[in-house]
Amino acid sequence: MLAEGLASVLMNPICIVWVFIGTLVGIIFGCIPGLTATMAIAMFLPVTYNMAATQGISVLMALYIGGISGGLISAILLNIPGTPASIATCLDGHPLAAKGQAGKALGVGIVFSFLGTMISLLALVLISPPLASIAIKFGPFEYFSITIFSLTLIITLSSQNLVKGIMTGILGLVFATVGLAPVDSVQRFTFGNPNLNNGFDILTVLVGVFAISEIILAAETAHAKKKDEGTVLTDFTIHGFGFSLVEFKTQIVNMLRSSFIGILLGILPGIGSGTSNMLSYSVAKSQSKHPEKFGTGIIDGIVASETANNATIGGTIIPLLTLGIPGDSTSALLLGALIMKGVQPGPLIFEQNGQVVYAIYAAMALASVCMLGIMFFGLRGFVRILKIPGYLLLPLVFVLCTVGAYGINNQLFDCYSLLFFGFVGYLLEKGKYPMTPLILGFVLGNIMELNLRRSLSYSMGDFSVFFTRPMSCTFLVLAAVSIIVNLYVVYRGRKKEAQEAK
Amino acid sequence: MAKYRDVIGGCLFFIFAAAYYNMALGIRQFSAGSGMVDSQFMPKVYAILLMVLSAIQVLQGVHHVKKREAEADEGSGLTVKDQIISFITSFLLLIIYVALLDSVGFVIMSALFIICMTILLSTKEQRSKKNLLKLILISVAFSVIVFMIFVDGFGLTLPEGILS
Repeated sequence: MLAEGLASVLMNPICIVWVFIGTLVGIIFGCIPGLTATMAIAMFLPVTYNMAATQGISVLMALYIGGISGGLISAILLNIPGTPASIATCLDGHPLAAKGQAGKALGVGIVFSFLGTMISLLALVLISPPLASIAIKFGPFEYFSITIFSLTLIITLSSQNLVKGIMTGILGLVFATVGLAPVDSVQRFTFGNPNLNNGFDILTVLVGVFAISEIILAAETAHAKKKDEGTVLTDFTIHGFGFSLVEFKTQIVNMLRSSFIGILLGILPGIGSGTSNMLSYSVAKSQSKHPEKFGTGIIDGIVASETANNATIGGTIIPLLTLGIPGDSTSALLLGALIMKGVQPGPLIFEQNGQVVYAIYAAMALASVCMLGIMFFGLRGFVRILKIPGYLLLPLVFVLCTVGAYGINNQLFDCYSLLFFGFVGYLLEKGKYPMTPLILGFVLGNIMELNLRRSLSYSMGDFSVFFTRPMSCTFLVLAAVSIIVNLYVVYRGRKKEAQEAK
Repeated sequence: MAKYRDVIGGCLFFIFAAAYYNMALGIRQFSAGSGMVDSQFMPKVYAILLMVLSAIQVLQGVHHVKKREAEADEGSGLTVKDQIISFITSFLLLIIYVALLDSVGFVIMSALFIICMTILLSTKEQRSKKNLLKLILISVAFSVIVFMIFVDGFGLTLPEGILS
């Protein structure tokens, strides 16, 4: 199975070409601010509908890796992160570029993105099989408790405004209840519309909430005073990788630490590259011998951010494959794509669809190598793409989103739900509600309810089983700890703010 | 407007949650099985939580309004009227595009949509005759290429409309 899986990607020229294309498109989406890796995957889903499972999932993995890596280009050259995964890259990347060392900044970013992905791939290969053999003993009780723990992480995502964050999280859960109920298949909130029996598709929710609302908001600001778009630094040169072996050696500890943070946050549901790059940056700063130099343009900052955001990719895939629980929007799309191909992620995936797992490994390695090559040789091309005006780009993206939505079931209904979620996203954006909890709630809602009801029918309605089974109890305790710790952090932050205000 | 944002948002959420609770009561249920947890259970839990949280938000919002009487608007230079007009036009454009997709066809509607939406999103200075010509070329080429790639290349069906 191992050889078969690896060969299905690495020995198949068509697949190699597709991984190359996927990586390239991913990087393009990553480097354009406003377009993300998730959008790239959403738009490419229809392309994979008629592909073999291994090939389709390889393309999506390539898009994921490309999308997370591409963000560093605009972060360094424009001082605008291409995706939320590269926010911390701006902090040292742009100052270094402004000093005339843009080539060095880009080189460091690209190489450590590559290393971050490879280290996380290693973690994925090593952690997944033992985790799957533990998870095989999990029953609905454990799955329920894991999803509860995952949902408590909504609080982490909404430190800005706790109440609003939890509200959008529950709104996500509410949208997940539309369709046939788990276990007894009673129709809920379908308004007699058979199209709603299967509930909303994750693609329509995601693209609607993030992309459509973006377009409507752009229309509003177009006529206001012009935003400062920033200027692209175009004159830079790279010799070799842009940095020396001595500089590389000084970053090894930083790289390993950042990879660890990235992988760990990737495994935790709900927290993705958008958080890991910032956490890793602040840890690198606090552990550094020269924290005062951070922000002035040193490579330590770029290494921390870019290693961690790519390391998160491998981490995110671990619970997706071994438990079948998606941790964020990107992995929710990947989960949907796998199921559509007849591959059911979960502890049995190694036995039932081992070749798909090994194909994912192979695709990740191949895509990382492609990314390294494409980024180094295509840099000037990406700089050009950054100059395409946003007012032209957004309508084109919308048309592609519609194709994706239409392609789900070949019907217009999904396009209308796309618009509906666009409207919801717009209202939430106007009310300053955070969007990520909504996606997490939507993704986890059905898994949670299904396992709750299965558990209770096993236990004849007895709730105490959740606490008497050790693994289940552990996750519930973790959930409680996560709530308390997060509430404390929020409380402390408020107190500090109040003191500063005085 | 901005200072009442939380109050309005909270009220909307509360109304939504109440309506959702009401609809949840109408879900058919089978009395046998897992005791109190039936298909109504989770929706009711969500609705109640949402009502409580939105009430908290409204209270917080009112408190906020009292504390800081005149909070400055974000300074986007947009009046509420401007925002509503541009929201309605862009949203209408999206709806018209989707509504006519089946009957008129993907290629024509997409090209028209891209042209209209781009004009809507660009500023007056960006709308020169030369740019408009470029835009028409790009939008037609883009729609045709996307249609060909997805339909001929990937075996997807997209509405052909009047061009079929």
